[in-house]
Amino acid sequence: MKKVLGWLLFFAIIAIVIAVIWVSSLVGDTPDKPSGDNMVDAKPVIYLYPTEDTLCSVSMELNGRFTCTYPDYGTEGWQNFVASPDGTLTFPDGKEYYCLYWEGVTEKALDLSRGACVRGEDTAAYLEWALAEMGLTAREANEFIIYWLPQLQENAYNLISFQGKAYTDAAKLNVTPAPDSVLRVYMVAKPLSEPIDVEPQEFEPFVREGFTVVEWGGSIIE
Amino acid sequence: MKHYLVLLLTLCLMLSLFALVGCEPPEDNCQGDDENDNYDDMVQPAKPVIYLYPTEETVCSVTMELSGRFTCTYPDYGTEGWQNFIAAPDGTLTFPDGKEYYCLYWEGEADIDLDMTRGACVRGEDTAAYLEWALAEMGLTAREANEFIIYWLPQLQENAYNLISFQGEFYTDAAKLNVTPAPDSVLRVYMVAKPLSEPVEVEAQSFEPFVREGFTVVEWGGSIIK
Repeated sequence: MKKVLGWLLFFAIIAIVIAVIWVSSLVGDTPDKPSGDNMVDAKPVIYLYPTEDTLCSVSMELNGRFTCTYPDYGTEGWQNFVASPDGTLTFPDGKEYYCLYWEGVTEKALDLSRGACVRGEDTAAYLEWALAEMGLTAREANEFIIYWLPQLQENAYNLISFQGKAYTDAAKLNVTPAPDSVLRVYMVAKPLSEPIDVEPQEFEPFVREGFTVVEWGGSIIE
Repeated sequence: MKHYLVLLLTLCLMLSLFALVGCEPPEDNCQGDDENDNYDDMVQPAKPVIYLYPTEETVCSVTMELSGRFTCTYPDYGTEGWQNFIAAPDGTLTFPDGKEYYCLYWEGEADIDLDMTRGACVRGEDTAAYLEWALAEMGLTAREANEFIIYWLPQLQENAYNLISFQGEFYTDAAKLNVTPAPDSVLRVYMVAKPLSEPVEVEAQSFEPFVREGFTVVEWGGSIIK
């Protein structure tokens, strides 16, 4: 009897060891990838173009958190800076910037049902067209493209979809005084090895009038 | 007695298997001798952007000779380079097809001998402040420095420390820049940053003052190395 118990104990220990190793290898191998819902917002930059020198403040409400801001967002946001019609932002300490920059991790429900499946080598051409359709100036589009191009052109294809409310709800932008026109461009790109069919996206025309605020940013997802 | 031995052996097996699971793969440290201050690697210059500021609208052409190859250019470099575009005093570049750009952009792989003997060991959280100072010393405008900083800041601020060294001839020799017509003043800023977990002592770097005069060309870029 003792012998049987002994062997049972032996096999039980082996079984437990194997089970523990198997479970911990599963947990250990799960890559910390950004999922479709919780991801890094890369390089949103915000430009302000008032019609005359204007004292402005900008704050945001993120469904998530900032990882990098420049100038520093601190706890109160970007407060009491002077924005000039050419876009220059002068802060109380005298420092000048051409945009507000932030990066963060936010949770949002993406809608990839509309977009475009773009060959890697056609990335620049597609973005030039899409960003102009959306209303970015040549300069703003240029900045956008040189940021994203190296990452996207290496892929055989990219599913590219510009997000609307899904993004703006997760990253609310509050500008004082209230701007007359606001354009927020947020691109999501998903690398693909094979092309897919996707319903084309329509872009609402944007009219710049009065005090205009423009933002662009994006994410690359798995 | 025999059974207890078997139990003991099993326990040993268990412990060694646990140890294997917790083990991390060996680090791929193929970047050369850490004790050496010179690195003979293929460095990936990231985001060099080139601005041209002539005193009046000027037809320009820009070519480069890389000790390596381009991986991305915008507008497209093609085989001949950026040819016959009009540069305006405000920096706008208008190409023959009518498209406008504010800079020439390239990325590549180049064989650069790095010299890390002079530089600064900067805390992650001091990155922005240090770069603001250094870039102004070197002669970048507020706008150019702003662009530089927002590109590099997220990558650098996460590190406990960064050894930051701006390269001179070693870089410009590996990535020759030819501008026609010949500019009057050229500033090329190339930062190399090496993340560190502990601070190091490093001889301070002094920056040559840069005077913008006449037709000015400015470039900035960098690499983060292991």
